Order: sequence, then C-alpha cells, then structure tokens
Amino acid sequence: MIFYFQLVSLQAELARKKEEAVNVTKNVPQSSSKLQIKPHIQQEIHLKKDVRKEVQEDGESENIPQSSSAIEDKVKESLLIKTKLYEQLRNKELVCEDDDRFLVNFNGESDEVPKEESGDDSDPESEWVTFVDALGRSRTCLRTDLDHYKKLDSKLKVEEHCEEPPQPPEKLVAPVSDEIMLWDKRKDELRKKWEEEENRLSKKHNIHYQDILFNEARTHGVGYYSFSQDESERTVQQEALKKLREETEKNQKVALSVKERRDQLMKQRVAAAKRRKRLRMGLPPDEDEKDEAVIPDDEDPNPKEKLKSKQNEPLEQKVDEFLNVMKRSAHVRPWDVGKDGIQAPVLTQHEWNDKQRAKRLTEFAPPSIYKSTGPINESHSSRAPSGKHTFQQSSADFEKTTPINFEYDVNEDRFAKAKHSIKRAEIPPPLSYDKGKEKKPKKCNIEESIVAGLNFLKNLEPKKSKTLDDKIREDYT
Amino acid sequence: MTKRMIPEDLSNVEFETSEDVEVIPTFDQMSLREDLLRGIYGYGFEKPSAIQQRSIKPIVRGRDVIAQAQSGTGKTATFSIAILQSIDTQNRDTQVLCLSPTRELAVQIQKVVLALGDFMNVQCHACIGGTALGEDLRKLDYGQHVVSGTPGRVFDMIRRRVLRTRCIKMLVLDEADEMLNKGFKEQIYDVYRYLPPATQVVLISATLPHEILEMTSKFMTDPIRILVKRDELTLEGIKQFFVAVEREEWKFDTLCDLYDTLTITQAVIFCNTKRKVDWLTEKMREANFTVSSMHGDMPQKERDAIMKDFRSGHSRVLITTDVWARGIDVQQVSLVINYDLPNSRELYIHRIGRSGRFGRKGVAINFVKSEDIRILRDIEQYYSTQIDEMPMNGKC
Repeated sequence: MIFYFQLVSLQAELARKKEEAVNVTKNVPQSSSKLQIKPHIQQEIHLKKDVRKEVQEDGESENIPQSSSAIEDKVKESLLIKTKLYEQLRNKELVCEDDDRFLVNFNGESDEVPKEESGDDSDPESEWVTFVDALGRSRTCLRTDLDHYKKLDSKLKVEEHCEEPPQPPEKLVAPVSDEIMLWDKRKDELRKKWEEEENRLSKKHNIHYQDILFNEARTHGVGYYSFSQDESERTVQQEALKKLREETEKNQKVALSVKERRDQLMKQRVAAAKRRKRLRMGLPPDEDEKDEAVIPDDEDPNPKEKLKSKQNEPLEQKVDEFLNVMKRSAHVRPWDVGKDGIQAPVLTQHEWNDKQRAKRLTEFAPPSIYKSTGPINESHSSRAPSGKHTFQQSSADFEKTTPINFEYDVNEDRFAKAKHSIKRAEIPPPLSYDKGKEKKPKKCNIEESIVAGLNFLKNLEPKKSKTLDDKIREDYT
Repeated sequence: MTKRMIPEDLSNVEFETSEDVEVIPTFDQMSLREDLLRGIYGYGFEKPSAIQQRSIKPIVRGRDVIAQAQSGTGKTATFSIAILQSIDTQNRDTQVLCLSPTRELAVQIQKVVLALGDFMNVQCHACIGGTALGEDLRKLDYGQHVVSGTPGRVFDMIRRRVLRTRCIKMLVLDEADEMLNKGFKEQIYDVYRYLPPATQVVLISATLPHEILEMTSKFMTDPIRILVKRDELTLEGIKQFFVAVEREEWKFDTLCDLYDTLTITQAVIFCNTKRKVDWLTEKMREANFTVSSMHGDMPQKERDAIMKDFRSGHSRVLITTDVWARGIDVQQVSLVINYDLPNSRELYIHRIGRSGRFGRKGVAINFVKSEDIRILRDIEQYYSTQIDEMPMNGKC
C-alpha cells in the first residue's frame, strides 16, 4: 500500500507546485517562466502514466479561463517540450553530462517509477485497486467494484463538462456573501436614516433624549414615557401627564383619608364592644382603654417633642456644616492660586523651611552623614534615616508628633490673628505654647459664638415675618 | 486673611472611605426633585446601587467627592442624578461641566443626563472634537445647562468665550484616573484655571490608583471619599477565563472557533493597537465573519456610525482598541475578549467591565501566549480574583 500514500502526497505536492507555477507565470514575464516551472514537470515524472493523463486534463481544464493569454500558450508549449526532454532523460535516451543542470536525479528515479507504475497491476491477486477519478482524486476500491465506480466516474466527468464549473470556491462563498450583503444593506439603510435624523436635529434648538436615541436597543423602566420629538407635541404630552399625575395624587389623598377614617371608626367600634363586654361582666371600665381612646390626643405631644429634637438636630448639623464650610473656604487649592487675586497661603515656619530646603543646592546642605547616621539632637530624632522624602517626611512626622488642630488653626487665623498680628511681635511664640494655652477656650468661644449667632439669625426671621404681617394688617386696616 | 494648605506629602497615607458617609437605601429618601425621580424610574433604575446610595447626597450638598465603584454599577447615573438635582433649569447658563477621556463616553454621558432629566427638559450638549465647530457655537450660544465633553474641544470653546464659565459650579471628571494621567492632566489644568475658584469637583472612576488620590488636594477641598478596595473591584457576575495559545497565529483560529458564541448577544474584542484592529477585522471579513471595528484613527463620523450600529444591536461583534475600554455602556454586551492582554492592570478591569452591565452576567476571555501567562497571574493576584483556563466545548 505504500505506493498509494506516496501517490496522495505526490498529488498534494503537485497541486501546490502547480499553483505556485501559475502564480509565477501570472506575475513574471515569459523569460523566467521556464525555470520556475521545472518543479512542476519534476513532479509529473514521478507519476504513473494514467495519473499524469488525469493531471494534464486537470491542468487543461484549469487553464481554460487563462488559455486566451499568449503567455499561457507559451508556457504550455515549453512544458510539453520539457516533459519530453525529461522523459528522454529518464529513459536514458538522452544523457546529460552536466548533472547539476537538472535538479532531478534521473538515474535514481528511473528505477522507482516503473515500480510504482506496476503498483496497480503487479499485484493481480490483490483485492484492492486504486484509480484516479474525474475530479483528480485517487480512490481505492475492491477490484470487483472497479467497473461500477468507473461508470459513476464517467458520468461525473460528463456532468463536469456540461456544467463548465463556475469556479467551486465562489459556489461555497455565495450563500454567506448573501448574508453579508443583506447585513451591509441594512447597515446602509440605518445609516441613511440616522443621517436624516441628525440633519433634522441640527435645525432643532432643544434636544431631548428621544432625539438622540437612534434605535438604541435599551430596556427602560416601566415608567418610561417616550415623548414626541416634536417640541409642541412634547409639551402637550407633558402637560397631559402632569394633569394625570395631579389627579392620581388627589385620588390617593382621598383614598388615604377614607382609609384613615375607616380605621378610626373600626377602632372605636372595637373599643365600644370591649367596654360593653366589661360592663356586662360587671367590671369597671379599663384604664388602658381610656388611653387608647385618647390616642389621637396623645400623639400630638410626641411630634412636638420630635419636632424639637429635629430642630435641635439641624442646629447641630448647621453648626457642623458651618464649621466645615469655614474650614473649606480657608483651604486654598494650589490650582486656584492666581485666580481672581487669590494668593498662595502664608506658609508656616516649618513649611517655609521645607520649601527653602527643597530649593537648596545639595552641596550647601548639611552632609548626608547627619541624616544617615541618626539623630544629632532630640528634635530630629523622629526623622527618617534616608530617602528622597526626608524633609517632607520629617515635616509630616513633626505634624504627627505635635498635632496641629486644623480647625483650630483656621479659626485662629480667621478670628484671632487679625487682632494678634497687629499688636504682637512679628515672631510668633512656639506652636506648642499656642496649643497648650489657648486652644481649648478659643474653640469653645468660637463654637458658642457661632451658636449664638445662629440663634440670633433665627430669632430675627420670625420677627421679620411678624413685622411684615403687621404691615399687611396695617395696610388692610 | 490667612489660609493654610494641607500637608503635601501623602505618599505614605492610606486613603480610605470617609467615615461620615451616609447610606440612603432608596431614591425616594434622597429628597430629589420629583421630575428627576420620574426620570430615574423611567430610565430603569429602581433601587440605588451601593455607590448611588452613598455619593448622590454629598455631591448634591456641594461637597467635593471622590467616588470609586466597580464597573457597571451606575457611576455615570450617580453623578448625572446629582448634577440634575443641583442645576437650576430656569437659568440657561452652563452650570456643570463634565469631562471624559473619549468622545464616545462624552456623548454617552450627554445621553444619560438627557434621559434622567427628560421630565425636567434639561439641556445637555456634547462638546467633542471631530465635529463641526459651528454646531458647538450654535448650541452653546443657545444655552446649555450641562456640558459633557472632551478636554481639548471644551478648552477651545472656553478660550473662544463661547462656553462661559462664570456660572459653572461643578466640575465632574469621569474616569478620573485617566483624566489626571500624564496625557490629560495638563489639559484638565488648563480648563480648571478658567473655572471660578473653589468650584465643586467630583472625581469618578472604577480605578483610582494611589498617586491619583495623592494629587487631588491640588484642586479639591476636604473631599468625601468613597473607595473600593482592590480585592473587591472585580465583579462576581463576570466570569474570567484564559485560552493558552502557543503562537500568536493561533489566536485567530481560536477566535474563529468562538465566533458562534460571540454572536449570541454582543461581544467586544480588544487589541492593543489600531493596526492590529484593522488587520484582525480584515482577516475576519476574509473568513466571511461579519464584524465591525472602531479605533481612534477613524473619522469621527465613522466612529459615530459604528457606535450607533453597535448600540442598535445591528452589529454584534466589535473589534476595537482601548478607546472602548472605559465607561462605554451597551447593555447587551456579555462577552469581552482580550485578543491582546492590556498594558495595565487598570485597563484590564475597565475592559472586562464592558460586559456584565448593571447586574447582568458577563464573560471575559483572555488569549494568552505562554509568556503572557505571568502577566495574567499578576492581574489575578493583584485583584484577588480568579481567571481559570477556558473549559473545552460544551462544558462552559
């Protein structure tokens, strides 16, 4: 069976080479074509006669569409010449002196090929026969079935010729490309539609969601209302919706009050029934019942208290918010510096030091051993031993060890410093002094004053409204 | 008046979620305007997500906020709701400026703002590059409550005094880490310089590396932080797999094998370069697969059309670059393929986050060559997540 597999691989090789050859002849002018086609023939020599016949047929049929070109004719001609030459060489009718001229080893192969050729027939007892069908496929079948297959094959051959194949790859592609064409068509339609919509939009002033939806496949909520793209219609729709909503709200309110009344009636009835029951049993009226009956009255003081606590809560919240606002307004964002006359904040002594240190040339800095070998004095003990961020880190550490209350600083800045800065010495006392002495009372004072201020404002408001009311009354009287 | 700066060196500080963050479990309890509430429910939100429960209130109260949340959990809606609650629709000046890294994202934000504010009749304009200047001039001149845009065009409009910043009270940086990265930071600074001092700033992203948080003190005041630890950043709903390939060429065959799965809903395929996107698209089309592709070198009109195509569900497979990695929300995307592994850990989170939107399920498949497996393992470890080898056919 070896010859069978050889045949298959040879055929594959042949097809490949043939394709190569065709490509080459397409691209390269005639002069070089001869050389390129050599392997083609080389392969042919390997094949047994009948196979070659088939192949030639195949080649011819493939060449049909191209036969018109003069190049192809020439190629064919030269191929035939070459085939003859090679055959002669193989059969030792001709002997070539220069062995390097041909890449084919005619001496060696001349032995092999006849062997292969005989492959079919040399084994008359074998049940299996190989033949090549009309499509160029090598097929194996039982010797007994050979005639049957040959018949089928001849039929196939006739059909093939009748059809004049419209190139098989195209046949395969056709249905898919239809799909793509449909897809493209739909795409073009959609794009055209969107373009029209966009043109319309460019004339419109108010753009709404529905205008820019462009067929988006998106699920909306149940409450989604697709308003009209026409502005006037949209307003009409919105007004209609508004009316509907108002009506609904009114109905809801009515339903709610009805329900409440019904509940109350029910409660009273239940209470009355209980009372009657107790009376029948000869018991005095229950105190709890009384309480229950008076529930609506009881409910009143609670909300008042709640209101009070609610009022207190917002007050605390307001104070917090106010403090936060102050804190935030005191912060200058570095990116804001220069806007509307906003200036960079005045640096603290430490910040100033750090800034200057950052600017300093390293050669003027204290030798690095001071940093790496550890503390020189106690105040520097917390510094990180090395690294790029030494100064920054040290400042951060410093802030950690002597925490500065930010709010306090800010408040001091806002309220106290104005006073201090005028009268006191230019060099402020150390921070620890400030912190220890003034921090607590100051903060309390400020909070108190804020609360007082807010209370004052609150008191002002009702007075204002009163005076307004008075005025109106006066006007009417 | 003396003012003080917060200490500069924050490299050793560990940023954590602020302590006083209030959790509000329903939209009704957020004391939002009624027409906004209707927009929220109409858009499909019923219950606020974790980030929405925490961030909407502080933004509405005017605080600077840094909000981080997993992808697809409603970050855009979070700031959109807060924006809509804080604007005065009677005033036609621009009151909020929202910047995003890509044009598609800016357009998407415009869409969300318009959707949520549908009952408020809010005006929101997408101010992005690659479009006609005249259109921007006309729209901004007419008056827009909110402007959502990309930094370049927005800055251009500000400089031309078409976009007036006088009334802007809030600046939102979506995908903040990207916006404050090298490529964008300068542009953001340029825009910021034109805003009134102490404008409220809101930063939003799924990923907020430490260096970005460090930087925020430069333009934010005492921000409220809502952060997510990195081991909680991947979503349970997105299953992650990898397919090991020996050679680069095999990725293509693998993709072809997967194609049928891709088209069940919608899929996004990420490559690392525009050229590769073009190459892969061409190769897929040659093999008779219908795919769309998008990248930054395409004309804006084409990009727009492709986005609409994909959003409408007409095209189902999109091959693209990292221009699509962040923020883009298409509900039906359930599969993300990393044809190439992303260049950063953050991008990995963003890419796989294109699937599994707002509680939906998603799948991410990474194509890895043997030398890439190390990178994937690093990502896996960094986010404490699980990336398994893809099971064979039928077991998925």
